[in-house]
Amino acid sequence: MKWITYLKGGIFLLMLCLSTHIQAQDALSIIQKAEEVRRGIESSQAEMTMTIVRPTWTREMKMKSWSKGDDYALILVTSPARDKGTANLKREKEIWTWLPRVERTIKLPPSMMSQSWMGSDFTNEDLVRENSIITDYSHELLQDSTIEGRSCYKLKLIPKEDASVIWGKIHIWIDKKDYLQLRTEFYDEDMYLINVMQASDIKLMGGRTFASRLEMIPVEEEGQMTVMTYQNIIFDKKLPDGFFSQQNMKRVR
Amino acid sequence: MLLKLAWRNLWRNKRRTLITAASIFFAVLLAITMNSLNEGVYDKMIENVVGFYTGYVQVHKDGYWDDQTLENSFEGVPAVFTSLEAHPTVSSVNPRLETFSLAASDSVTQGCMVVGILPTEEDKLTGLKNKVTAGTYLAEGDLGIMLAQGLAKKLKVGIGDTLVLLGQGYRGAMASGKYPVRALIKFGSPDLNKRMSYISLQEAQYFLAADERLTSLSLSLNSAQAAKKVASDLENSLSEEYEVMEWQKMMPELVQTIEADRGGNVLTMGILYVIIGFGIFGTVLMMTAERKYEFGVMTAIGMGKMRLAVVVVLEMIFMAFLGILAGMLVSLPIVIYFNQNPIDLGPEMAEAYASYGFEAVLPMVVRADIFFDQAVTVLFMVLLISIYPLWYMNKLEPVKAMRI
Amino acid sequence: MKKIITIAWRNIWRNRTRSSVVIIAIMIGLVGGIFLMSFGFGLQEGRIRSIIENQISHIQIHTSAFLEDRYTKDTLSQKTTLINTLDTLSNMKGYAMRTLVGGMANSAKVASGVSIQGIDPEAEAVVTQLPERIIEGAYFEGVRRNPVVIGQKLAEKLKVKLKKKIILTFQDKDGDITSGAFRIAGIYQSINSKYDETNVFVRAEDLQNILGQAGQIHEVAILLESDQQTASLQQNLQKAYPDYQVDSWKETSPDLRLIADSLGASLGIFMSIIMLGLAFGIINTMLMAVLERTRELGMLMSIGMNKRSIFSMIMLETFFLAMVGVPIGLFIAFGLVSYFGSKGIDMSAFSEGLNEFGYANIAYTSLDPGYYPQIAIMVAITALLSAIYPALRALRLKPAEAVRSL
Repeated sequence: MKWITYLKGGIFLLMLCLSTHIQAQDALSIIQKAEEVRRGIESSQAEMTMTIVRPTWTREMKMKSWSKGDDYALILVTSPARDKGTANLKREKEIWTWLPRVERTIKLPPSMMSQSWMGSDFTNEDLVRENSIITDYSHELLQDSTIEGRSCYKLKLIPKEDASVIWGKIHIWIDKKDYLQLRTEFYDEDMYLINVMQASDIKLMGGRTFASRLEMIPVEEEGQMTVMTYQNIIFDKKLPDGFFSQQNMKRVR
Repeated sequence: MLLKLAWRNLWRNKRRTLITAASIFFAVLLAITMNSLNEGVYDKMIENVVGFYTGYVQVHKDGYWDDQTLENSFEGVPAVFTSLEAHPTVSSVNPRLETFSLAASDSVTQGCMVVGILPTEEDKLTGLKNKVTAGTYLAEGDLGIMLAQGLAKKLKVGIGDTLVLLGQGYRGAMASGKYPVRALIKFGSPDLNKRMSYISLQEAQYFLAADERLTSLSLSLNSAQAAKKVASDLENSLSEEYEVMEWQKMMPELVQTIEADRGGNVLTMGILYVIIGFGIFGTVLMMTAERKYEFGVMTAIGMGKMRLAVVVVLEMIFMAFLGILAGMLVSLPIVIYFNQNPIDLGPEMAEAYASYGFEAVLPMVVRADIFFDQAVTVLFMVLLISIYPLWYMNKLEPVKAMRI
Repeated sequence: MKKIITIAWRNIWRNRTRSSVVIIAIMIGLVGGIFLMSFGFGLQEGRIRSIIENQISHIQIHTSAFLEDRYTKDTLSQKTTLINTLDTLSNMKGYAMRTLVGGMANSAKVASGVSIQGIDPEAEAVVTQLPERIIEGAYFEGVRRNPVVIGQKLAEKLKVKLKKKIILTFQDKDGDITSGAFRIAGIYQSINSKYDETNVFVRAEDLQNILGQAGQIHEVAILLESDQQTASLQQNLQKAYPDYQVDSWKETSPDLRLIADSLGASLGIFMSIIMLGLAFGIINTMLMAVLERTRELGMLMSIGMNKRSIFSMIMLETFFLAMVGVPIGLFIAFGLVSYFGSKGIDMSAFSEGLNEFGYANIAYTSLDPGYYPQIAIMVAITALLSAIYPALRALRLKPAEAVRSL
């Protein structure tokens, strides 16, 4: 769900020392490893396209993004012309929006958290939610399987009793070689599949192995999904905290 | 032959006939006025609630009502307007484009309903202009916004302040716009008062990147009763892309309230029927007693009880028609009068009602079916009561009867 | 005069059919009138009471700031003194203290805006009878941690069933967003589906734990034995707690007040129509009675009874009949009102699907005893007034013709 962290989190090439001597691992350490890979990214800077697919139409938006750790992110819309310059700033649990057309910054009220983010299949909450797939769930290793020709661990995550998570269970496929989270299936408490998130087009980008295409598919809505594709990404370029400010949100190009 | 006899009997004792007919007349008069008042009050209530916002009938893109998003809007092509306006009962068509959006003042951000309207048309349908408490009502092509009072209070803005709207437009487009507050509107319903805002239709279409698109067409009708029929007519004449809904479907809770209230009225009517029924019965009873001698004589001179019974029933029917006809004739001007000059509930109630935007009046409705139904009910009552003289005659012993 | 009284009295007993018709007409009018009044009042009272007892209570206390903006931080800080005050009150059925926050309820599929009420289940059972509206599951039972009771309409919207988890998200006192997982212990349904869609109930302590505000409340609702004490208690409490806003149900729900007032108005109009019906009935019956007695009256006139005496005689007769009809009518009416006041009238026969809508389908009659003499006098006067016209008609009879006529 946290696409923003995926964006940062593509992967880690240089964790070789660890990955080589992993053989028979337990589920928890696999997931910890995947999170480490994801969190290993100090910061990122990317250009991407978001395509919203609906049964009767599709809409394409180009954007630039900057992120730092889990807490800061800034996203700038560069096209279409109508929305150009619109920026979203995430600072910890808050989301701010800069609207160039009316020259105003607005803090998103809590009531809007579960609304769609920029009309996509992600919600605003997906940007800020801090569920930990490590502490909120108990983990179980299922049979290995293959996705995109890559051998993957398949894990089953069951939320702990008092965790504030809506899902009944989650299945995650983690690539054995690079610890990329390639596919995630979200089930409700009746064990119906609700959302599928899948990563593909794995290539070397910005010096890392990175899944450059990310799809979010609400399974029950036919013909509907959101696709993020990365044109380029730069990792670990130093960004000061001040970069993620309301002032900068208006200026950034 | 019997018919003639019955007719003659009636006019033989004019006074008696007139008194009996009068009791029936009063029964009809009261039943009709009471019912017209009841229905009138409901109609007024519906008019008030429906006139607030929805209108009697709405046309949407099929599926809009269950999923009210801009994706379920439709193109407001002239052909749709033409075909709606062609219906004889439709008096005007009011287009709207509405959606949920965020409104942000300098200090507060709050969700609200944004409705794009044609100011003049909207005023015709809902009398919106009269609800303006401060500022000026939107002019055609105005780029300002009108806010419900409660919403304005929450946002801490007044006339002249600028408000930013932020939301999601058609097909995921981002929507944002800056609008000076032109007017504050007071709605009776606290719910509407907390969340309504209006901008011009054109501006809404631009704001939401939804050129030419509409979410609904609200129709005003020449006759409120026709809502259901108009809806089904239009459903047939429009293509399947559209859904047509009458107010009963859009506001089931109003229907429920009225339905629940009707239960009470049925009982009230029941009590009235008992009272007027007994009024007629008392009269007939006395009439029968008075004619005891006459019945005795008739039987004695060899008129069969059966034939006599037919004569009496015929007399009753004649009187009933006389009374009912007169009752209807006299009710008509009364009902029309109270339809034009509704009963005023007085200044105290006026105040309570006014805060809801209602008038504190109880009008009567002029409706043919009420006249007919009540006439039939009273006729039925009279027939039921005629059993009494028949029963009385049956047990009558002519010899005794003729002795006074 | 005494002679006339005697004649009038005898006349009544001489023609029993006629007398009983008039008596019954008066009785029916009286019974009908009283019954209608009591029914109307009963309906009105029932509606108001059901909303007071199921939803808004007689009195609510908040801080004025909370009423205005509903911020989580605006709690009632004098809670302990409030409890002390309230515990000493008599004539009170109970009070409930609530922690309230606005937020979102999320299921795996859908999110919906809700108002979250942190309650004490036991107090709430007394004050709003919440357990009685549970249609599925149990009242805060059967779920170990964080039970929640949600409305049928919300359950439908969120596509969730009993024992399923929902996430409630809201702001804590610092305005930070926080959330908790709750399991559906019960599903309720009230008259108002909009209310059901937007109100969820959790245990106050569960909510306070997440908010980090142990024991803090925003609202006190007080249910009294009867509405009569509302105004004085409201005044006293307001005086004792000048910093708080103490509202009666009339302020809490102006809608309800409107219903109450408008019903009273239309009832008055229906009453007058019924009275008209009664008057017409009596006039006609009396007219017939006079007509029937043409011969008898003619005789009386020809033996020298003057017109005035005849007029008085007829009026007196009516008066006597009223004296008989009114008490009997009162007695029957009282019986009916008491009977239906305790047993109720099943309204489902009159109004289709009433129950389906969740309206109470039993109406209880109820009438302030003060109305009985009022209505009785009104009916008696109506009867007497109705007799004037027939009595006047009688005066116009010509004795000779009257005797002959048959």
